[in-house]
Amino acid sequence: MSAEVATSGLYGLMAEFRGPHEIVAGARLVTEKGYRRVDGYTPYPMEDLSEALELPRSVLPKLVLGGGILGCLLGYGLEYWSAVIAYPLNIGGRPLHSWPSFIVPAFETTILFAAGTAVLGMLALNGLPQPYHPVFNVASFAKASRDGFFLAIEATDPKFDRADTRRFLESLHGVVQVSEIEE
Amino acid sequence: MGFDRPAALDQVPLRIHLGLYQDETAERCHWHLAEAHGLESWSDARAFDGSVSIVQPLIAPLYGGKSAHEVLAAFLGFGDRAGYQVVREHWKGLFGADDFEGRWQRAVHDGVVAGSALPEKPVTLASGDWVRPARQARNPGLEIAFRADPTIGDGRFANNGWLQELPKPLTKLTWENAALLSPRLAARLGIAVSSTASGATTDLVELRYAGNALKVPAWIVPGHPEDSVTLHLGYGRRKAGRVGSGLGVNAYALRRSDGLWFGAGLEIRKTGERAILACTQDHWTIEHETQTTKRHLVRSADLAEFERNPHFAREMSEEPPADLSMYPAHTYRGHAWGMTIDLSACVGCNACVVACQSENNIPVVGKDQVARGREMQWIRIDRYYQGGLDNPETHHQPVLCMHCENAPCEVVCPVAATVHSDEGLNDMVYNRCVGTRYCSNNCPYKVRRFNFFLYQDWDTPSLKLMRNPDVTVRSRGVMEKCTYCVQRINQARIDAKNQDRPLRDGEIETACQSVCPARAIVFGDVNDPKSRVTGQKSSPRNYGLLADLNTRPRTSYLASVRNPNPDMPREAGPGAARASLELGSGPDV
Amino acid sequence: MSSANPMDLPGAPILGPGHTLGTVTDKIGDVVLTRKTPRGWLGGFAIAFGLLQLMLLAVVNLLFVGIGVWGVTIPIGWGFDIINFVWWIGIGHAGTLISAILLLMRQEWRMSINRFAEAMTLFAVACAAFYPIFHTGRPWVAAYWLLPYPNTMGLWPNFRSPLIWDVFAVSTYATVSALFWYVGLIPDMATLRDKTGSRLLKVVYGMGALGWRGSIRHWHNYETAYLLLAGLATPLVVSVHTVVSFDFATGLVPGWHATIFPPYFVAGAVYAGFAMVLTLAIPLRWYYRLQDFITMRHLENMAKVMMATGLVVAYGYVIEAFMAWYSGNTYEMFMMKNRMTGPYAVMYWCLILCNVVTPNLLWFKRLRTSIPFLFLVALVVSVGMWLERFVIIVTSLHRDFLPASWGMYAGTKYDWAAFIGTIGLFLTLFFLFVRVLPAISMFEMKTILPGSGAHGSGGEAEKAR
Repeated sequence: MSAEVATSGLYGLMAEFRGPHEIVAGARLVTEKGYRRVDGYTPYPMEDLSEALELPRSVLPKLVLGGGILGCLLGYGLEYWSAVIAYPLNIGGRPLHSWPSFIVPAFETTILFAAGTAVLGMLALNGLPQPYHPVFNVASFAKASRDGFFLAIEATDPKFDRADTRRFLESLHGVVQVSEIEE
Repeated sequence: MGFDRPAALDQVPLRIHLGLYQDETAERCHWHLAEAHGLESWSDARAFDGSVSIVQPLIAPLYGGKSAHEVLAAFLGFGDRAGYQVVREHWKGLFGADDFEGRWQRAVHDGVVAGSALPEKPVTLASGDWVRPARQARNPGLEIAFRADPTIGDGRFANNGWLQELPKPLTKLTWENAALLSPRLAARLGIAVSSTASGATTDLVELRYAGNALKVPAWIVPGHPEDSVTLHLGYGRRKAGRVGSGLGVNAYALRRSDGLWFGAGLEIRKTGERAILACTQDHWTIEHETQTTKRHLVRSADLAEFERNPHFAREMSEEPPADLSMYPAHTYRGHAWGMTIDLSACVGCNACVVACQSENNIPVVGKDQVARGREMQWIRIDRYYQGGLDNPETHHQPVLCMHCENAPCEVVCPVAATVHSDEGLNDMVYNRCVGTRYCSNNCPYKVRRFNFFLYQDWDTPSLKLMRNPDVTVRSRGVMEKCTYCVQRINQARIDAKNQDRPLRDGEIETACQSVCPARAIVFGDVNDPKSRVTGQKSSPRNYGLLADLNTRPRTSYLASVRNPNPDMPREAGPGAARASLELGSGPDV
Repeated sequence: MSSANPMDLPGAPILGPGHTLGTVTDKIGDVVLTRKTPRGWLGGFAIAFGLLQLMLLAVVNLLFVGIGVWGVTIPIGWGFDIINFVWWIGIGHAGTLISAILLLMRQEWRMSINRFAEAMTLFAVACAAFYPIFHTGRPWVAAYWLLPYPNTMGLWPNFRSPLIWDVFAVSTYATVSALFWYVGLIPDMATLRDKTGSRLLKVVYGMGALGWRGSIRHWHNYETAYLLLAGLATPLVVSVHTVVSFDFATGLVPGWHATIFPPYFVAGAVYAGFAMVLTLAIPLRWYYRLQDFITMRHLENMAKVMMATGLVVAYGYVIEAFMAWYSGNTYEMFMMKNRMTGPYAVMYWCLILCNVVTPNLLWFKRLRTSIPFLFLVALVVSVGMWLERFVIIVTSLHRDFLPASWGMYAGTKYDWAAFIGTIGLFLTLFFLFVRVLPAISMFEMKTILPGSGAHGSGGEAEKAR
């Protein structure tokens, strides 16, 4: 099967499934078939679907750990530097390096940076905000946020073929319709 | 007849009033002449031994006032002669023309004319019945006693804000007088005093004496004679000026010329109305030795007990040692300022309170604010009773910022507006303070005062002249407290540096120290082994207030040792009249 | 509402029967997208907004005249201001507990209540934040001097002060809660974007949704982020009220200086928070007919959490009293005696009645499953928790070490105006929230529908019944 270069103006093909079990089964078959540039669209997160598409583990936890450590260092560092180096003051006879006190704001900055990294990292990894995406051109796609389940195979996938892929998708169990996604 | 009736004055055809204020007398006169203040006038005086002193003004009259000399000179036909001329002319006559200028200059410079004392004259005591016993009031019933007010006197100082706001030494009342009575009399009459957020509320009573009646708030004073009621003079003025009008009640309405200071036949009854009084210490704070109230704040012993155990004060509570903490204590090289207050010497006169107010530009806040606990004085005298309510021992304890080495206030300030100097002063940085009031909450001594409103008067011109230019004037929303007169410390340091010498002990006197008539307050360098304050602190009587909290206060107290005459009746020991009384709410505390 | 609704009865499941993905979307989404604002909402909002104006008047008066219009004085430097600050922050904690901790504990019943509970948290924190700024004598500088920023004076905040810990803790809490809440809203805003017919609303919700399209790759990262946020928010919520308790515990005032404060405060916060969640949930579900989503099971579970934390709080009271006696410390013993028999004894005993006696009534199933009774208990607990902060702050300050400095405190009309004003702020924000955003998380509700396939074997809703 010659890999036809994606027809200009075509992003890919979208298959609408009847329900959650159908999309998971279909996704397994799509993956087995060798398609990689595949995405699913569901109204709520589905672990089974992620597994079926063999999505790699998210790198987010490592980023968040890094963010937390950075937050801790920055927070404690600010406290230490301001109290011991920049403007040391005798406050209540306490030692300049009042580490029991300094633990508290440093804990908070750790959480702040970690949480910020989690959110911004998630958005960045997802490429959001992204106001436009070709899948929105599919008329029935509005159901994706309501009760629709969609699988989309991009035209840039090596195995993509406009006709073959369409036939394959239509052959899957529980497919309601297959549509073309215009760029 | 009561002094309230001006009677004969109106019969005088021409009435001219020379005075500092357009007061109640000026009201009844045709003319009022603005008098120059004593400090603005030239005059003269004779000391107790007859020595002559020339009185100089400190400032030219601010408002164009005239002294009594100038007014009399005008009446005597000398025209618009200045007071200076009047005094000079008088003494020219007495000194003689020979080198008058030299003698005049010397007299004005020295303040006293040497050798002008009058010769002594021997006298003998006249025999006879010149000592008459006081009139005995044998009638049963109540006695009324009139006294000059402890702060405003006979009323002449009614317009003085500092004196109005100064708490009266025993009652701690401000801005007002009250009918002072004993706890037993109050109990008989059913008078209740209670503490509320807007002030101390008490019963309004009616005093009936010699055909006159007066409604006065009642106030209970432990140790007051049982069948006597004291009323202070000087209040109830109608036209005393901006500050003094309409305060309190006019005791002169009851006072009789045939019994100026006391009289029998007083009747008293509750009117059913309540009144609010501004009292700075709502609780009688009687210390008694029970399980729950062993606070050991004011420590005192009889002479015998002191001789037996000189360290009685130190043993009453535990002061943690400096090296108790696992962190090294801060070391103070150089000067380390500290203070001691000798409770044996302090008589509770309150002079230190006024001195501090004048030195540090402390505002006057008025009756309503004092009633709510917002008085601004940086030093206060706590008054404690000990023993039965009928005849307690009274203790006075001046409390000011302790300048704690481990200051609890400094730790909790979020913006570091209060920090410790390397000489041991707890510095208050007004322009950094944002007013969270955590420092006041965390101060166990409650010496910090907060500017809840803009208490300072920015507008009245004479107040601008009054203020000490070396001390910041605080605005709304910032905390303030005793600074050990840091402006005086700094000035002395500058002077010593200019003269290229070290600071001498005794060179720096805080304002409170300088006016104390009993010399109870001693301030100085605790790092100097030879300073007076170091000597005081090594006394066995020396203890820190609430030192068991490990605040390490730099201000400490010398416990009082009393030596009562063993023949005087004392309150009996345990089992005597209950040692404490809650205001209005029955037993305990 | 007919009392025969099975969702109002004991033993109800966590989700009403017969719902589909579509009906869940419609039932929740229509509340927001309806063009005709219901009269009840307008009336309630008008009252809330009126109370908000009261707050503005109170603030302006305070700023121009001074802190003296409040009842605070020496020695009681803190009164309604800090009582209300702690009260509001405490209320916020239940939202985070529901969002974060119940998520980590895989409690599916959280799905229908976490959205509005988290909103409640944000609004409570906003009301609380009013006080640290405006209770200061100079709020115009306090607003930024409490933050660490480089300045010409070279000064930095004093990091040893619990008030600075508060700044860090509360602002972190506000930020993380806002992020958590917003992240949860992204898919729902996408749903509303797709559901609405109005072009304007499509653009507005579209911007809010950041272009969310429900991509499984996005969900993958999203779920990870959500779990991480829950895992971070859990120690955060414990630390925030611990830090608030440190405002007192690190002070030396008898009655404040107690090591039990951190867990005692955190438990008290969850207690008060769940009371407020109940106070909001019961009218909300009744007015918008959401009984299928917020069932008796939810109400009962919340009542049980409330009771459990109430017992922890009761333990706190008992141990405080015991320790005051056991310590033999003069000041501690007096403090406890003063609380029980002094001028504010009425407040203390009302506190015991509201916080100790009332929740123990929830042992009885009949009371626990009576909706009017639950609502009443929730109000009583809110009042009780306010009294607790009053007792802790005012009775400890008004009589501490030196009897000569003792005083009395009462809230002035300006204190009350500010407090009622913050209630107005809270209600205004809540009414606005209910009108423009889905009060229940649509996508999370879908995960617990039977046969949703969300967790491999279907939701708990499928297993129940």
